[in-house]
Amino acid sequence: MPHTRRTPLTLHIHRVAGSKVMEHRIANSADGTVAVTADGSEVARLVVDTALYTLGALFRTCYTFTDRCYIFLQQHGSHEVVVEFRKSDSSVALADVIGAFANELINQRVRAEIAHETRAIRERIVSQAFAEADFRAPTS
Amino acid sequence: MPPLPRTVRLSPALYPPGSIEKARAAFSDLCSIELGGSGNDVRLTILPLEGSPPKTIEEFLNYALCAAVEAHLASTE
Repeated sequence: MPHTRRTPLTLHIHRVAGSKVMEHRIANSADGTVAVTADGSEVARLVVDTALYTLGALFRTCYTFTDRCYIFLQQHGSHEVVVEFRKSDSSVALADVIGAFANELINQRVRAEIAHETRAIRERIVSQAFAEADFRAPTS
Repeated sequence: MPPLPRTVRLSPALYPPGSIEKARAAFSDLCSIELGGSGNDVRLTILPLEGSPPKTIEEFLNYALCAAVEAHLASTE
């Protein structure tokens, strides 16, 4: 049986002044209320705990999703960032985007962890490779 | 009829001033920007100009986010 990655998300859907708003909260986040702006368009919000997912992981994840939807970040307390998603075109399903975004957050977090763990050996390999190289200009 | 203006609260830790200036310059033909407040309470109002596309505000914010991400990654790598 293939291994399934599970993302700890809870989902709440409600309507504010005609807008469909989805609030997703990563389960490990502290409780808190996220302000909702009703402008008539569909908006989804994901609360990210920056003690769990580094700002670097969050930024890298955002960068890969700006071609799929509109993203805006708001600081919410000292350890939370609210990620606001709006559709860039009508075919985008925000619930799917948020699920993929949450998975990518984990992916980026793990990548950062692996990069940190393997930094010394990578630096050693590179320095070894360059130690054997001859950078002097060839003499004719 | 241009899109309605939108005011958002910005955290300088997430959006450094340079990223907003970069977006402002790139979108100068489509919208004007008003900045208010100071410190951690910066408010940004985006006012689309006549004839600008409906998603001008969202495009502006996405552009500013990309500029902020690039600045963040350049400073940490």
